[in-house]
Amino acid sequence: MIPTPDLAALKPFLPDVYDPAEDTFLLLDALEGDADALRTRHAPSPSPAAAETPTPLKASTAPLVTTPFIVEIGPGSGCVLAFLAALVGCNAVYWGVDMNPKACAATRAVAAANRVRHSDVVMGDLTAAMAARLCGQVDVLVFNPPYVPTDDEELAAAAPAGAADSGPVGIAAAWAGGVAGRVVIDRLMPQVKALLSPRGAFYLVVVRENRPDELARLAREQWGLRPRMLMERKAGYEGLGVMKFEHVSDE
Amino acid sequence: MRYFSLSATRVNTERLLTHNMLQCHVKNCRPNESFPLTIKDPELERTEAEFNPDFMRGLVPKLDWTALRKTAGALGLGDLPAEMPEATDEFLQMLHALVLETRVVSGSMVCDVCHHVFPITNGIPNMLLQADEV
Repeated sequence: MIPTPDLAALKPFLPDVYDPAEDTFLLLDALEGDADALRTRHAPSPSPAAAETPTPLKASTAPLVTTPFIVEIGPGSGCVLAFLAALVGCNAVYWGVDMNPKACAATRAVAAANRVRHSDVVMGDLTAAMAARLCGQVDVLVFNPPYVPTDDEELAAAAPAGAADSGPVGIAAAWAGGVAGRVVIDRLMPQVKALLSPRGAFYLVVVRENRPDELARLAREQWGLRPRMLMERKAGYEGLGVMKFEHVSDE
Repeated sequence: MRYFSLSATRVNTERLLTHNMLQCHVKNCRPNESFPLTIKDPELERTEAEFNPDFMRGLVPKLDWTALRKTAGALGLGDLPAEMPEATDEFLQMLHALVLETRVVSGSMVCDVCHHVFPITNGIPNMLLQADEV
């Protein structure tokens, strides 16, 4: 079992950053439960040609294992990013992208305290600034989104479009999710397929109010992704779940 | 390759690897033309990281070499060849020092097309836009 990351470095950033809670821990458990897939995701794919070739292939023609790119959107405390690094290992590049400057600083501090070797933090809105370059290159994408249903005004106040001119984005952006808690999720989903590498997977935290069944249907019908509910748990009044989305296989 | 000696630090500030992934995303800008963003007034630092040739070999195909070459030249970190050389250990070591160990602590990244300035403060690039830019 992978221990929960050391969060002592988070203290100075509270309460301006989302303190890991039941939703965070469910995500950690779901990721750990999927550890085999996460770890073997980047192994070289067996080449049919290689199996039939009588002589061993030269090293230069062996299938190349690309270095995994792991991206968490809205890392907040950095807890999940540090956990992923412990799970997948240090031979991957980790990025955390958050709108909240204090969450960026917290993620960096927690990643450093947990000795995540190759991690960088970008202050940004979803993957906007990286989407073109990360296209088809993201092996693991993780998002514990602002999923709490709120009215549009509350969402606009928490995370305004064009966040740069309204002062630093605060803690409310960690939870305010607009109608059905789906506004931010629905903004990201259409981009996921393009971001994921051929073996890439996207892990998303949802609550019942986000209508996971509808998300699964949209994934299949509109977003070109294969959905699966990985883990569900009731925490107080919240019906939490972690969904996994992958490319639709050709089989 | 000529390499500047930079002061060592312990925090994870923006690596040149991350700079290689960032593009202008202002509405109606032409990100492909303005890539890579031009780094202005940089304060650079160097952090030691363990060299792993397989890690670097796997990173090579995910880099944009032309952009990296332009940035390294502009920062005075060396003249890279126009074509990416063969992945010898010596080349991978150089690349390791350039993209993983070289960091921008402060400065800004400027789009050469729309002139938007993305500040880098405490090693964190700020890619957020104003409401009329998205």
